[in-house]
Amino acid sequence: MGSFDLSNAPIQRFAGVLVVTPPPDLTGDDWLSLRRAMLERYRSEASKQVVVDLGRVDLIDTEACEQLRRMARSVRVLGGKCALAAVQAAVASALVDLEVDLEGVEAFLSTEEAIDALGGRRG
Amino acid sequence: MTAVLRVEIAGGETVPRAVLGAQEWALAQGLSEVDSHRVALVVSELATNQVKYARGRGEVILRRCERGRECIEIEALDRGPGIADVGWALAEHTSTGGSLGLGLPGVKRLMDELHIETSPEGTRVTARKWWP
Repeated sequence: MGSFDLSNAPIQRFAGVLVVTPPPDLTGDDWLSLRRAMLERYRSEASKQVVVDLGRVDLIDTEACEQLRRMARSVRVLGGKCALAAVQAAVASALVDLEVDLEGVEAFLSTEEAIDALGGRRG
Repeated sequence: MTAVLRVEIAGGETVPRAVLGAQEWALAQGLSEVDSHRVALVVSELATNQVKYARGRGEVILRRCERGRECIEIEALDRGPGIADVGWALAEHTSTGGSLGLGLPGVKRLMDELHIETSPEGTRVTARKWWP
Protein backbone atom coordinates (compact mmCIF):
# COMPACT_ATOMS: atom_id res chain seq x y z
CA MET A 1 0.00 0.00 0.00
CA GLY A 2 1.03 3.59 -0.43
CA SER A 3 1.57 6.19 2.24
CA PHE A 4 -1.82 7.86 1.84
CA ASP A 5 -3.93 8.09 4.99
CA LEU A 6 -7.49 7.24 3.98
CA SER A 7 -8.93 8.53 7.27
CA ASN A 8 -7.59 11.97 6.42
CA ALA A 9 -8.65 12.05 2.77
CA PRO A 10 -8.47 15.56 1.28
CA ILE A 11 -12.18 15.75 0.45
CA GLN A 12 -14.27 18.73 1.49
CA ARG A 13 -17.68 20.05 0.70
CA PHE A 14 -18.05 23.56 -0.71
CA ALA A 15 -21.35 25.04 -1.87
CA GLY A 16 -22.89 21.59 -2.07
CA VAL A 17 -20.06 20.25 -4.23
CA LEU A 18 -17.49 17.67 -3.13
CA VAL A 19 -13.99 18.97 -3.78
CA VAL A 20 -11.24 16.38 -3.92
CA THR A 21 -7.71 17.77 -3.64
CA PRO A 22 -5.12 15.07 -4.33
CA PRO A 23 -1.81 15.80 -2.62
CA PRO A 24 1.41 15.59 -4.63
CA ASP A 25 3.37 12.35 -5.04
CA LEU A 26 0.50 9.90 -4.69
CA THR A 27 1.25 6.28 -5.55
CA GLY A 28 -1.08 4.17 -7.69
CA ASP A 29 -2.52 2.61 -4.52
CA ASP A 30 -3.04 6.08 -3.07
CA TRP A 31 -5.08 7.12 -6.12
CA LEU A 32 -7.18 3.99 -5.71
CA SER A 33 -7.73 4.77 -2.00
CA LEU A 34 -8.64 8.35 -2.84
CA ARG A 35 -11.21 7.21 -5.40
CA ARG A 36 -12.79 4.86 -2.87
CA ALA A 37 -12.82 7.56 -0.18
CA MET A 38 -14.46 9.98 -2.61
CA LEU A 39 -17.16 7.43 -3.45
CA GLU A 40 -17.87 6.82 0.23
CA ARG A 41 -18.28 10.53 0.87
CA TYR A 42 -20.34 10.90 -2.29
CA ARG A 43 -22.78 8.22 -1.13
CA SER A 44 -23.02 9.55 2.43
CA GLU A 45 -23.64 13.18 1.46
CA ALA A 46 -26.26 14.89 -0.60
CA SER A 47 -23.68 16.17 -3.07
CA LYS A 48 -24.23 15.25 -6.67
CA GLN A 49 -21.24 17.05 -8.17
CA VAL A 50 -17.51 16.49 -7.72
CA VAL A 51 -14.56 18.72 -8.53
CA VAL A 52 -11.08 17.21 -8.57
CA ASP A 53 -8.62 20.03 -7.89
CA LEU A 54 -5.30 19.01 -9.49
CA GLY A 55 -3.48 22.18 -8.44
CA ARG A 56 -1.03 20.29 -6.23
CA VAL A 57 -0.39 17.48 -8.71
CA ASP A 58 2.54 18.12 -11.03
CA LEU A 59 2.79 14.70 -12.66
CA ILE A 60 0.15 12.19 -13.61
CA ASP A 61 0.74 8.75 -15.09
CA THR A 62 -1.43 6.04 -16.63
CA GLU A 63 -2.36 4.59 -13.24
CA ALA A 64 -3.51 7.95 -11.90
CA CYS A 65 -5.37 8.72 -15.13
CA GLU A 66 -7.18 5.40 -14.84
CA GLN A 67 -8.33 6.20 -11.30
CA LEU A 68 -9.43 9.70 -12.35
CA ARG A 69 -11.39 8.25 -15.23
CA ARG A 70 -13.07 5.69 -12.97
CA MET A 71 -13.84 8.40 -10.43
CA ALA A 72 -15.60 10.47 -13.10
CA ARG A 73 -17.42 7.47 -14.48
CA SER A 74 -18.67 6.38 -11.04
CA VAL A 75 -20.02 9.86 -10.35
CA ARG A 76 -21.76 9.89 -13.73
CA VAL A 77 -23.31 6.45 -13.13
CA LEU A 78 -24.64 7.74 -9.79
CA GLY A 79 -26.31 10.63 -11.59
CA GLY A 80 -23.79 13.39 -10.93
CA LYS A 81 -21.10 15.29 -12.77
CA CYS A 82 -17.35 15.45 -12.25
CA ALA A 83 -14.98 18.21 -13.36
CA LEU A 84 -11.26 18.90 -13.11
CA ALA A 85 -9.82 22.16 -11.86
CA ALA A 86 -6.43 23.87 -11.77
CA VAL A 87 -4.76 21.42 -14.14
CA GLN A 88 -1.06 22.23 -14.33
CA ALA A 89 0.77 22.46 -17.64
CA ALA A 90 2.79 19.29 -17.04
CA VAL A 91 -0.36 17.34 -16.19
CA ALA A 92 -2.12 18.62 -19.30
CA SER A 93 0.95 17.65 -21.32
CA ALA A 94 0.94 14.16 -19.79
CA LEU A 95 -2.78 13.68 -20.54
CA VAL A 96 -2.06 14.57 -24.17
CA ASP A 97 1.14 12.49 -24.40
CA LEU A 98 -0.60 9.46 -22.90
CA GLU A 99 -3.63 10.09 -25.14
CA VAL A 100 -5.93 9.63 -22.19
CA ASP A 101 -9.62 9.93 -22.92
CA LEU A 102 -11.29 11.30 -19.81
CA GLU A 103 -14.65 10.75 -21.45
CA GLY A 104 -15.96 14.27 -21.59
CA VAL A 105 -14.82 15.44 -18.16
CA GLU A 106 -14.57 19.22 -18.35
CA ALA A 107 -11.60 21.17 -17.00
CA PHE A 108 -11.70 24.63 -15.40
CA LEU A 109 -9.02 27.11 -14.44
CA SER A 110 -9.96 27.14 -10.77
CA THR A 111 -12.03 25.21 -8.25
CA GLU A 112 -14.36 28.20 -7.86
CA GLU A 113 -15.01 28.29 -11.59
CA ALA A 114 -15.66 24.55 -11.63
CA ILE A 115 -18.10 24.79 -8.69
CA ASP A 116 -19.98 27.58 -10.47
CA ALA A 117 -20.11 25.59 -13.69
CA LEU A 118 -21.49 22.55 -11.87
CA GLY A 119 -24.18 24.68 -10.30
CA GLY A 120 -22.81 24.82 -6.78
CA ARG A 121 -24.76 26.96 -4.35
CA ARG A 122 -22.46 29.69 -3.06
CA GLY A 123 -22.87 32.25 -0.35
CA MET B 1 24.97 15.50 -10.93
CA THR B 2 26.25 12.15 -12.17
CA ALA B 3 25.52 11.09 -15.76
CA VAL B 4 23.98 7.86 -14.45
CA LEU B 5 21.10 7.60 -12.01
CA ARG B 6 20.25 4.19 -10.61
CA VAL B 7 17.03 3.83 -8.63
CA GLU B 8 15.84 0.74 -6.84
CA ILE B 9 12.10 0.11 -6.84
CA ALA B 10 10.83 -1.78 -3.80
CA GLY B 11 7.09 -1.26 -3.49
CA GLY B 12 4.73 1.48 -4.59
CA GLU B 13 5.94 3.92 -1.95
CA THR B 14 9.35 4.08 -3.66
CA VAL B 15 7.89 5.20 -7.00
CA PRO B 16 7.32 8.90 -6.17
CA ARG B 17 10.94 9.23 -4.99
CA ALA B 18 12.16 7.58 -8.20
CA VAL B 19 10.01 9.93 -10.27
CA LEU B 20 11.24 13.01 -8.45
CA GLY B 21 14.85 11.81 -8.71
CA ALA B 22 14.42 11.25 -12.45
CA GLN B 23 13.01 14.72 -12.94
CA GLU B 24 15.87 16.35 -11.01
CA TRP B 25 18.41 14.25 -12.90
CA ALA B 26 16.94 15.22 -16.27
CA LEU B 27 16.97 18.91 -15.34
CA ALA B 28 20.59 18.58 -14.20
CA GLN B 29 21.48 17.07 -17.59
CA GLY B 30 20.19 20.21 -19.25
CA LEU B 31 16.81 18.99 -20.47
CA SER B 32 13.99 21.50 -20.56
CA GLU B 33 11.30 21.41 -17.90
CA VAL B 34 8.85 19.85 -20.37
CA ASP B 35 11.28 17.12 -21.42
CA SER B 36 12.26 16.52 -17.77
CA HIS B 37 8.59 15.97 -16.95
CA ARG B 38 8.41 13.49 -19.81
CA VAL B 39 11.44 11.59 -18.50
CA ALA B 40 9.81 11.52 -15.05
CA LEU B 41 6.56 10.29 -16.58
CA VAL B 42 8.34 7.42 -18.37
CA VAL B 43 10.04 6.43 -15.11
CA SER B 44 6.67 6.55 -13.36
CA GLU B 45 5.12 4.22 -15.96
CA LEU B 46 8.01 1.73 -15.92
CA ALA B 47 8.41 1.70 -12.14
CA THR B 48 4.65 1.29 -11.64
CA ASN B 49 4.71 -1.72 -13.95
CA GLN B 50 7.45 -3.26 -11.81
CA VAL B 51 5.35 -2.71 -8.69
CA LYS B 52 2.21 -4.15 -10.27
CA TYR B 53 3.58 -6.96 -12.38
CA ALA B 54 7.13 -7.81 -11.21
CA ARG B 55 6.51 -8.70 -7.58
CA GLY B 56 6.92 -5.08 -6.55
CA ARG B 57 10.62 -4.88 -7.24
CA GLY B 58 12.99 -3.72 -9.93
CA GLU B 59 15.55 -1.19 -10.93
CA VAL B 60 15.43 1.86 -13.17
CA ILE B 61 18.62 3.30 -14.62
CA LEU B 62 18.89 6.63 -16.40
CA ARG B 63 21.99 7.52 -18.38
CA ARG B 64 23.30 9.70 -21.13
CA CYS B 65 23.99 7.64 -24.26
CA GLU B 66 25.57 7.90 -27.69
CA ARG B 67 23.96 6.00 -30.59
CA GLY B 68 25.26 7.94 -33.54
CA ARG B 69 23.85 10.98 -31.79
CA GLU B 70 23.39 11.99 -28.17
CA CYS B 71 20.50 10.47 -26.32
CA ILE B 72 18.94 9.79 -22.93
CA GLU B 73 18.40 6.14 -22.05
CA ILE B 74 15.98 4.82 -19.47
CA GLU B 75 16.37 1.15 -18.64
CA ALA B 76 13.96 -0.77 -16.40
CA LEU B 77 15.02 -4.20 -15.16
CA ASP B 78 13.06 -6.67 -13.11
CA ARG B 79 12.96 -10.35 -12.20
CA GLY B 80 9.23 -10.68 -12.52
CA PRO B 81 7.37 -13.35 -14.51
CA GLY B 82 7.75 -11.50 -17.80
CA ILE B 83 5.20 -10.02 -20.19
CA ALA B 84 3.09 -12.79 -21.70
CA ASP B 85 2.13 -10.87 -24.82
CA VAL B 86 4.33 -7.92 -25.75
CA GLY B 87 2.10 -7.08 -28.72
CA TRP B 88 -0.89 -6.68 -26.40
CA ALA B 89 1.16 -4.66 -23.93
CA LEU B 90 2.14 -2.21 -26.66
CA ALA B 91 -1.35 -1.92 -28.09
CA GLU B 92 -3.67 0.94 -27.23
CA HIS B 93 -6.40 0.07 -24.75
CA THR B 94 -7.80 3.49 -24.09
CA SER B 95 -10.95 3.03 -26.12
CA THR B 96 -12.11 -0.29 -24.73
CA GLY B 97 -13.56 1.16 -21.55
CA GLY B 98 -11.41 -1.15 -19.51
CA SER B 99 -8.00 -0.61 -17.98
CA LEU B 100 -5.54 1.71 -19.66
CA GLY B 101 -3.09 -1.20 -19.69
CA LEU B 102 0.61 -1.13 -18.86
CA GLY B 103 1.29 2.43 -19.95
CA LEU B 104 3.80 1.17 -22.51
CA PRO B 105 2.03 2.79 -25.49
CA GLY B 106 2.49 6.10 -23.68
CA VAL B 107 6.17 5.35 -23.12
CA LYS B 108 6.51 4.53 -26.81
CA ARG B 109 4.97 7.86 -27.77
CA LEU B 110 7.09 9.83 -25.31
CA MET B 111 10.39 8.27 -26.40
CA ASP B 112 12.06 7.76 -29.78
CA GLU B 113 13.02 4.10 -29.30
CA LEU B 114 11.56 1.34 -27.17
CA HIS B 115 12.95 -2.18 -26.83
CA ILE B 116 11.49 -4.92 -24.68
CA GLU B 117 13.27 -8.15 -23.79
CA THR B 118 11.14 -10.42 -21.66
CA SER B 119 11.18 -14.01 -20.42
CA PRO B 120 9.81 -15.91 -17.40
CA GLU B 121 12.99 -14.82 -15.59
CA GLY B 122 12.42 -11.11 -15.99
CA THR B 123 12.01 -8.09 -18.23
CA ARG B 124 14.30 -5.40 -19.54
CA VAL B 125 12.68 -2.33 -21.07
CA THR B 126 15.02 0.13 -22.76
CA ALA B 127 13.68 3.48 -23.92
CA ARG B 128 15.75 6.16 -25.65
CA LYS B 129 15.10 9.78 -26.44
CA TRP B 130 17.35 11.65 -28.85
CA TRP B 131 18.86 14.75 -27.37
CA PRO B 132 16.59 17.61 -28.31
